[in-house]
Amino acid sequence: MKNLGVVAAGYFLIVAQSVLGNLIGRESMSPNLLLAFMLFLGAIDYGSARGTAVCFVLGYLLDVTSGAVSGIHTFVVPATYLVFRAVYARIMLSGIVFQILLTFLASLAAGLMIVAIRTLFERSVFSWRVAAETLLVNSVATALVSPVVFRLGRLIVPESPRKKEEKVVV
Amino acid sequence: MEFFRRYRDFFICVVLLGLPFIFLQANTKDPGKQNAFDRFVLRLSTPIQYVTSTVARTVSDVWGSYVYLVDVREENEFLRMENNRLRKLGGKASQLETDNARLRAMLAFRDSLKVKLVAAQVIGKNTSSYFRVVRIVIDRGQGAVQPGMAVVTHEGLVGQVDRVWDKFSDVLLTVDAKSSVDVYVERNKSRGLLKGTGDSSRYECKIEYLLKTDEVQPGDVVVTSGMDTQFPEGVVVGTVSKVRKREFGLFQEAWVEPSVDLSRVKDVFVLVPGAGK
Repeated sequence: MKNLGVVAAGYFLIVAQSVLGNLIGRESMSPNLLLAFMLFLGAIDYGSARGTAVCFVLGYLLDVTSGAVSGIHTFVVPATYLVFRAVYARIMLSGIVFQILLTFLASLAAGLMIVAIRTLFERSVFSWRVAAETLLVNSVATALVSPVVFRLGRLIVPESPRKKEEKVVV
Repeated sequence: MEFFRRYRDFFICVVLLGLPFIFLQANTKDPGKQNAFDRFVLRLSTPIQYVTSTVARTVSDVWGSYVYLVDVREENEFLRMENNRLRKLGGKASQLETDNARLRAMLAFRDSLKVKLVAAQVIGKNTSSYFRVVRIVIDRGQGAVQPGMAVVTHEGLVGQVDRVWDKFSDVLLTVDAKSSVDVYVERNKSRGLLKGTGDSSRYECKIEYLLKTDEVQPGDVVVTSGMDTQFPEGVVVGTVSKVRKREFGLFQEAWVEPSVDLSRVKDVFVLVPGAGK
């Protein structure tokens, strides 16, 4: 039931980011709300198998919504989640600034993964300058909205007290 | 079994991270080389894609419509105010046009008459219980006008000055029961005496002493005869609306509808008798 709620919340964020994309007009400036939400799940240690499964489902939904080739986000979202979860567990810092910084780096890593997969499977030809610019702008946008998404995430999946106590707030 | 339980999470993660590559393989494969499994994978995404994109589009449309409607509301408010302003201006222009036409007609009427005229404005109206004007007050008084002088507009005869005090005068209308004017029917010169019926429910006069042998019919124009020396000859009084021939006696009766709309009269001329232009 809890997983279903998380999937529903993730789906809501997919729809929201799709609407935001339409409203803003420039896709690169639209934040990746789903990725921010997945990072939140990684931060609260939602579980490796459970978290990966939820990320898999939501990544697939993001693929079909965004019109991307099925499999890209289905891979990138769970992979970013697992990496972020592993990194976050080893860093003894927390707080909004740190959260924004980490989200920015994770979003950058996810973007790089997407570029790499598309180059490998689709044999897409990129303008590296445009790709870098898109990656940077999208990562900044995602990082900036992450505090809001994390707060929303806490309403749906409350953080364990033990996790909070262990970290130093930045 | 123990081995699987220990590494369960690890296996699940590996499978979930590996599956997307099967999707990718199926999606990026040349359509001619796709097998049944590839087609199944592709078909799997279609209904989900449809539902998701429909929901996203609906939410986007609703939001877009809301933002659009907010703009429309502001624009609507502005246009409504602009419309009110223009309507007022239009009303004012129409009023000015009507006034202009009336004053031009009165000017032409004044020039057509050979007698001296004193222009006056109606400043008061005495109305009956039926909201009919039975008496008007004009802004000309002692010195300019005297009792008995004819009051006209470009449309015809209004009445005569009844009382004069200070700067104002009371006008007795042709429809008043006390009013009598010597007139004739313009078509056949049949003479008679026009008297007001005094009917408070309508503006009406009656021609008395009209010879029964004279052929008078509804629609005939009635003008002043000038025989009573009070009113100059040829001023239109009204049109015959009804004729009644008596069985006995010499005369017939004709009812006349005044040519001037007495409820709307605004500007009048007082005719000064014996004074040429």
